[in-house]
Amino acid sequence: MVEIAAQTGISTIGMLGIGAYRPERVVTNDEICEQIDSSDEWIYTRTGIKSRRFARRDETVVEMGVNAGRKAIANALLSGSDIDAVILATNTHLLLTPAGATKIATEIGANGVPAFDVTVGCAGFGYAMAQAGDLIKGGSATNVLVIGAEQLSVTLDPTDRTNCFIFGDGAGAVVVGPTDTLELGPVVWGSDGSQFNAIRQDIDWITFLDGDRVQRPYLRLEGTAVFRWAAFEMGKAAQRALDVAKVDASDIDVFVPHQANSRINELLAKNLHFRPETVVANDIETTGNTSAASIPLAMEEVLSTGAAKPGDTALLLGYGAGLSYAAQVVKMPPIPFE
Amino acid sequence: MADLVAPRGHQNVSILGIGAYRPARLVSNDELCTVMDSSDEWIYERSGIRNRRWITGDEDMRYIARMSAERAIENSGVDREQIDLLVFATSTWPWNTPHGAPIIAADLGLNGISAFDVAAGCGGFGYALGVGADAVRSGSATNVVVIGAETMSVGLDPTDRSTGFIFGDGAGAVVIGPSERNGISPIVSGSDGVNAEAIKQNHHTVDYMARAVEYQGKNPETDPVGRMIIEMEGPRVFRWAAVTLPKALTTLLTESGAGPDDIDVFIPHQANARINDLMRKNLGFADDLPTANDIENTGNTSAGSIPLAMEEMLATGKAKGGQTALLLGFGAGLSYAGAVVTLPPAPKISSFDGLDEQPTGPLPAHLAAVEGR
Repeated sequence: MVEIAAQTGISTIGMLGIGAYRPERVVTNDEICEQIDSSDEWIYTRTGIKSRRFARRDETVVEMGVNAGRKAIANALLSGSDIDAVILATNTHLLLTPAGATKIATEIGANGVPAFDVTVGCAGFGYAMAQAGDLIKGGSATNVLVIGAEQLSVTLDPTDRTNCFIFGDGAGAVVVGPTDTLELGPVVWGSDGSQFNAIRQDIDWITFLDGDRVQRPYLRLEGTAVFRWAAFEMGKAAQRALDVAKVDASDIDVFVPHQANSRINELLAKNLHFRPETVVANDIETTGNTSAASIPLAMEEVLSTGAAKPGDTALLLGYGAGLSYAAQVVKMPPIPFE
Repeated sequence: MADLVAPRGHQNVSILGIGAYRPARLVSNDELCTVMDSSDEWIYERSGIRNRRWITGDEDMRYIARMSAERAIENSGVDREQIDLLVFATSTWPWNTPHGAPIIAADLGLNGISAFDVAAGCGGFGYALGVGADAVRSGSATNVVVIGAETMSVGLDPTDRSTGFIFGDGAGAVVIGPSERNGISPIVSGSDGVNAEAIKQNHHTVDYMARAVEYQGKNPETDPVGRMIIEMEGPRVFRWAAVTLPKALTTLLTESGAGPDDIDVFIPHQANARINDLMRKNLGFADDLPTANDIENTGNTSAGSIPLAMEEMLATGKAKGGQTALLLGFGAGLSYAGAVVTLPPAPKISSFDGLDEQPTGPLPAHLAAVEGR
């Protein structure tokens, strides 16, 4: 019987570079409130959001992903030909077929490499980064481009006063590759499919196609259910990520939670007992909730503004639709030049 | 500064069990040709397809995916509690949000485990198998359910002579986990985004929603809004496949440690029996090498095709547990992913058990003309 080879990969890996793409158009709370009975103050008090960015209608997740991906590669001092796998985390690639990652691979100068999409809601970036780590450790790849990109503006009901002010568009990317010492801790990941309905497209595509098509599908959110789950369960997931990485809360320099709601994140940060000077990412204020893109966008923001430094120990915590979550202790990547 | 630790994984990983679900409703070429201007003979000669299966009644994506995984878990003998990751390869989950894997995990009694969806077209199962195997090797998971499932009939125009006869519905799943000997080779995979448009949905979802508004006032008889369907430029895909796949297979046979003589079974993606015959010949495999031909009665089930074909061969005795099989998925993206694997044991519960007695429902409206003669 033939012995099937089992290759071994590289065990010390980290983020070599980071890049972000923020669409040009800034949408203020006041503009959102033209269509709903609400106010800038009400929205800010409850969510921490002052403004968000919307992509142009002709912009796509693929295009935004390419822009963020190119910067991440350049900031890692690599070129497209160094990338040997591309993972795109998104829920808003608008074609079921084909996936978006293959086109991104072509555009960044890596045509031909393994490329696939993963869909895991707002936890998508954390899942994709864990997979990138596994591919490298398993010997299947060396430098993996991991992208989180979303165009949520097209899924919003602008008259839904429970959620239309929450979401924004954007893309963030990192290159995961070999490093001298281990810079990515073990992933803690999980789900709660019993709360499948808490964040959902309200009409599935089959029902829409088979029906009269008068009512289009929109993204809906049961805010209270999600808040409760996030506040109770995500603190535990974050603590487990610290435990498996054998890192104490006092070792964390930067906390980068999913940018869903500043109030949830303040609560999580408080309960995790970080040091008083630990930086808590708050990119949501001018970016809104960009789902799978939020964590790389928020990391890029704290690095660009100098709030965080390369090599800082950071706790990443993604959570959202599915319901799904992923938490990981990491070392912050180099400062982005572009 | 805090040092980080790495988990320890299991280097040797194998497929421990397999399961599949085939929809009850079989649709023959003759039936299809009541609405498509073609014939059984024409379709069979070009594609090797005689029948395909479409979901009806209570069958939907969630159900067929769950059933295939139930059977895979049962057939693997792995304790359900020992499963800690579910990877779901599909291009036809009917929601953008949320993804399917967590709810399927919950349906399987595995609520809480890590679970995600992978989209890589017909190459999806190979990608999912690779990500799952690497998760075990690096210690991110221990036992993984990998599902490939599709309901291609949803995005099908049965009058379209280029794609209407090709696609079918179905689900296949495997359980992978640590093993004494290694049973899953390195995955050889790649893509070609230059040809991304060769297999694609006709309208993207936002355009289609705008179109639906625009067509509200029009007469559906004379000005039908149409559906979001998959379109394919067959010759473009064929040219790519002819150039790319032989190279991929050669790489695979080198990296896996298994040469052509070591391969007992060939399980290519079930897109076209003629392409598969050609690949087998070009690889120098013997004419009598057991080669998957599930396409004849299943059609092309995209990410579902490889586990469905593997299950068919094991269930019917065409292949045996412990044999060495060459897998190669390819399609939309364009993308491909292949591996050399040790086949799992024949399924104790197969997708054919009681299949003929299973009740069928009416076909959905856009396909109803097929049975409305």
